[in-house]
Amino acid sequence: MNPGDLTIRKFHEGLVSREFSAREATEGLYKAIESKDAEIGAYLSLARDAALTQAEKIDDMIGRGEHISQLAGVPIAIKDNILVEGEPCTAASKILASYIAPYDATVVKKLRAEGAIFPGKTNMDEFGMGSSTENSAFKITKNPRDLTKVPGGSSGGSAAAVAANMCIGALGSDTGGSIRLPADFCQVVGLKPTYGAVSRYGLMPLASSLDQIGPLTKTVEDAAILFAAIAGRDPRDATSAEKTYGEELTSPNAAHVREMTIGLPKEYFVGGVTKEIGERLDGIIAALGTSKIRFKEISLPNTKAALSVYYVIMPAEASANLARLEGMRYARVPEAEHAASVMDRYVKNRSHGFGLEVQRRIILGTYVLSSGYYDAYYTKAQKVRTLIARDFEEAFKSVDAILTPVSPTLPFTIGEKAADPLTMYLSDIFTVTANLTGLPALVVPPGFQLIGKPFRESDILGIGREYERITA
Amino acid sequence: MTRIDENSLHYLAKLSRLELTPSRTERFIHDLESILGHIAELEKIDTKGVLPMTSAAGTVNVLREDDTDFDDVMAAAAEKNLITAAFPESRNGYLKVPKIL
Repeated sequence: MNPGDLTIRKFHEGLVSREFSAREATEGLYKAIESKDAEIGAYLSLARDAALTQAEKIDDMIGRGEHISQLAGVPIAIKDNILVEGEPCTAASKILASYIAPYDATVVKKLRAEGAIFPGKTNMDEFGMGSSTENSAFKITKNPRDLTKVPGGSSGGSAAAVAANMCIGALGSDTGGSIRLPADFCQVVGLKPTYGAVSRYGLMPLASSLDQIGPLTKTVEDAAILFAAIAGRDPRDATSAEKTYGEELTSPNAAHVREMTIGLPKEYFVGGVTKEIGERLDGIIAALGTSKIRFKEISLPNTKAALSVYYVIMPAEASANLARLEGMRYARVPEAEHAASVMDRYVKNRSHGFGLEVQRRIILGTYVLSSGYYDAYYTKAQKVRTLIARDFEEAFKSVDAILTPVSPTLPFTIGEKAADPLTMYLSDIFTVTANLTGLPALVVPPGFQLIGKPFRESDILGIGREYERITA
Repeated sequence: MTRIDENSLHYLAKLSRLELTPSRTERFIHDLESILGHIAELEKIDTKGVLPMTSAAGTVNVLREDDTDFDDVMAAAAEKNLITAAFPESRNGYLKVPKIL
C-alpha cells in the first residue's frame, strides 16, 4: 500500500484498525517515491532511515495499546528551507549545499511530538525566490498533472509531492504566494495562515514581515488538521501571536458557514485573468451559490499597487536577511575555501553561492534601501501598504471572507517565463496582498482563493469544506 | 524612467558583497530599470499623512522571561554547541575567520 493515496483521517483509521503498520506504510511510500520521483523531481533529499525508525516507534506504541495522535505515522514532506534536525537544509541554494540542520524548526518539533514522519525535504525556488521552482540550484520540479508544465513556486516540490501521492501532506512557506500558487498549479489545497499564527523559528527567512509557514494537503480537512498542529505562540519567535484556536478549526459549524457573506472584489475580475480562469471562477461562484452563502461586490482600490509594494518590501528585507550567508557561520562553497581576507571570503562565497534570481533581488533590495532612495521606495511602499490594509479592514466590515482568483493564468510551460523576471513576478498579483496585510488565505482546487479576517482561518476553512461538499 | 549606469550598479554590487561579470552587470542594469519602471506607479499614489506599515503583527514590545532556570540554561548551552559545531571552521567552539588585522 502507499499511504500517499490516503487522507490523514483515512490513514489514521487504517493504522489504528491494523489494516497496515506504520512500517509497511512508510516502506510503501518510499516505493512510490522511487517509482515516480525520478520523473517529477519533488524531493531534494530523503530521510529513509529516520522515517523507518520513527515508524517502528509508532508500531510499538500501537502494539502496547497506547493512544496515538491523529498525525502518528503520517508522512509529511518538508520544504527545504525549514530545519529538520540532522537532515540537509539547502533552501535549494548552492550556498547551503553542505549545510545540515542542527535543530528542529518549531513546526517540525510540534509535528514530531504528534508522531508525524518526515520522508524528505522538497525542492523550491532558491530561498523562496520564484513562482515556478525553476530557480532551484539543483533541479527543476515538474507538475505531476502535466509534466511539461511548472508546478508553481516557490513551494513547488511540496505541492508536487502532495499531488503525486508521494506524501500525505506537506509544509511550505509563503512570502508572496509560495504556498498558494503551487497549490493552485498542482491542484491541491494550500493555506497561508495569519501572520503570527505559526512560529517561524527554524524557517530560513526571506522577507520577515511577510513570511508564514503553512500546510499543503489533498483536502481542506487535512489542511485544518495540520494547521491546528503547528499553530500557536512560540517564545522563540517574537512575532508569533498569543492566540488559541478552538474546535471550530477542524470541526466547522456548517450552519454558521452557510450564513456567511463572501466579498467579490471588482478590481480582481475585470480583465486581469485569462478566459479559462474567468470561466472557471464563474463555475466556482455558481457552485457556492447553491448553498445559502451570499455574495457581495466589494472594492479594494489600492490593491492594484500591491505587486509594486511587494517588489520593494520583499527584496529589501531579503537583501538584509541574506547578509548572514558570508561563508563562515553556516556553509561555505568550495570557491570561497581559500580567502585572502574576510571581505574576499564574503564576496567569493556569495558570488559563487547565490543563483541569478537571488543576486538580482539582493541588488534590487540594496538599491531601494540605499541612502537617497530609502524614502522614495521603501518608506513609500510601506505607506501604500497601510492603504492596502485599510481597504481590507473596510471590506471586512460587511463580508466574512473575500474570494479571488489565485493565478492570472493556467500553469505555464517550463522555460516559458524564465527569461523575463517581470513577467514571472506578475504570477503573484492576486496572492501578495494577503502577505502585505497579514491576512489568512486558503487555496482550494480547481482554483480559487479565500482571504479571511485576522486569525479567522476557521471561516475560510469552513467555506472551503462547504465547497468540497457541494462539488463532491 | 529611472536610469541605472554601470558605476551605480557596481556600487550596489559592492554594498551587496557580490562580484558581477560584465554580462551579468549588463543584464541587471536592464532588469533593474524594467522593475523600477513598474514600481514607479507608487509615486502617483497620494500617501500624505499616511503612516508606514512596518509589520502585520499586532505584537508590541515582546520580551522574553528574564529566566535563569538551570534546565533552560543547560538546554541553551547544548543548542549553542549544536550551532557552533555546524560552523565550517571553528576552534574550541569559537568561529574561525581569515586574519582581520
